[in-house]
Amino acid sequence: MSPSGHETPTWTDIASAWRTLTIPDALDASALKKRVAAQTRRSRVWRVAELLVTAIAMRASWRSFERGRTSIADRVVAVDILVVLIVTWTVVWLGRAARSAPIGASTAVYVAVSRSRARQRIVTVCIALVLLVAQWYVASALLGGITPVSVLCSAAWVAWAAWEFRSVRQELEWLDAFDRDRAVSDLGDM
Amino acid sequence: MVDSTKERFGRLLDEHGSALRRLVAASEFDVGEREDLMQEIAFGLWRALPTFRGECSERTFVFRIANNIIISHGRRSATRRRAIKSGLDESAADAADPHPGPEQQVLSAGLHEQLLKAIQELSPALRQTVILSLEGLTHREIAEVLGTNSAAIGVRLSRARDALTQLLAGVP
Repeated sequence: MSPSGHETPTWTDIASAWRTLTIPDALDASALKKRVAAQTRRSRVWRVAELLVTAIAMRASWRSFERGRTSIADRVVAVDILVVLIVTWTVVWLGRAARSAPIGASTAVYVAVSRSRARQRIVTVCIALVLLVAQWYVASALLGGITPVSVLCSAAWVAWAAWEFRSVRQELEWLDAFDRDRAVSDLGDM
Repeated sequence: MVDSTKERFGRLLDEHGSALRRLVAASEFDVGEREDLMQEIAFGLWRALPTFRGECSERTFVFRIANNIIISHGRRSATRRRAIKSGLDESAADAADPHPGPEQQVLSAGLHEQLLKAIQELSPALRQTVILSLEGLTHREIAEVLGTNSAAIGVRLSRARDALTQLLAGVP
């Protein structure tokens, strides 16, 4: 290969240039260890927080029965809390199963799994919005009105859903482009 | 003797570290991002090692992980990559790092830098294929990494070689 860049290099030239290409080691072992430790710690804290929130919600739901407040509205709210918990945990478990997609699989499998995971995220967004509408109904019809706190929570919920939807759409577009590129690359010269 | 995950991890990084660094250098435009990407690959390898059941060779497994993480990385930073690429297209001189790191200094000879830039110009599918071929993987091994068949690899490689030689010869 000519440094002038105007001679056509042979494949042998390219292969030998590649083999002599040495990139200094950028892998910092201590940073990697820190990353593993941080990930493990974050995962533990997250699990504990999830269980704690679930326990608090269930306790709150149960207490309304303990106090003898067994009006229709109280029962609906208690059932509503349980339904939200069940739906949320189901989505969380399904999401985690999808996340454990084999990173050691071939590119084709990995891309297919990424695509199905992205579609699952869209389903999650839809479920989250349905739950939000249900909560507004429960709050307005049975609890006697909407509070500023519930409006703020709802706004945050919708903002998250919009951001998630946009992010998934971008991911699917990227995957489509990647698949198109693979398909074009596999077409033989006509 | 079956080595522990930790020993196997260290051994795989020793054996394939250079190849992985070349793969990262040819896949990531931003020099500053390469260290993060290399860490991600090492972390991915560490997490995936316990799931390795020997369905393919260790080399194939390592390259599968690296390729998949590079895909995820590229997906996340697609916008940034486009911006960097357009910057390179506009002016290679403007895009050059005014304070080159050790990696850039090693590449200052020009030959390797030309090769890396030419590979980065290829489409992702051709880039993956050509890098694996340059690393000495057979058509069958490349097909195992990418999840396609040897015939498709033959076609991709032919296209990639043509494109690469033209890019290196300065053909627009």
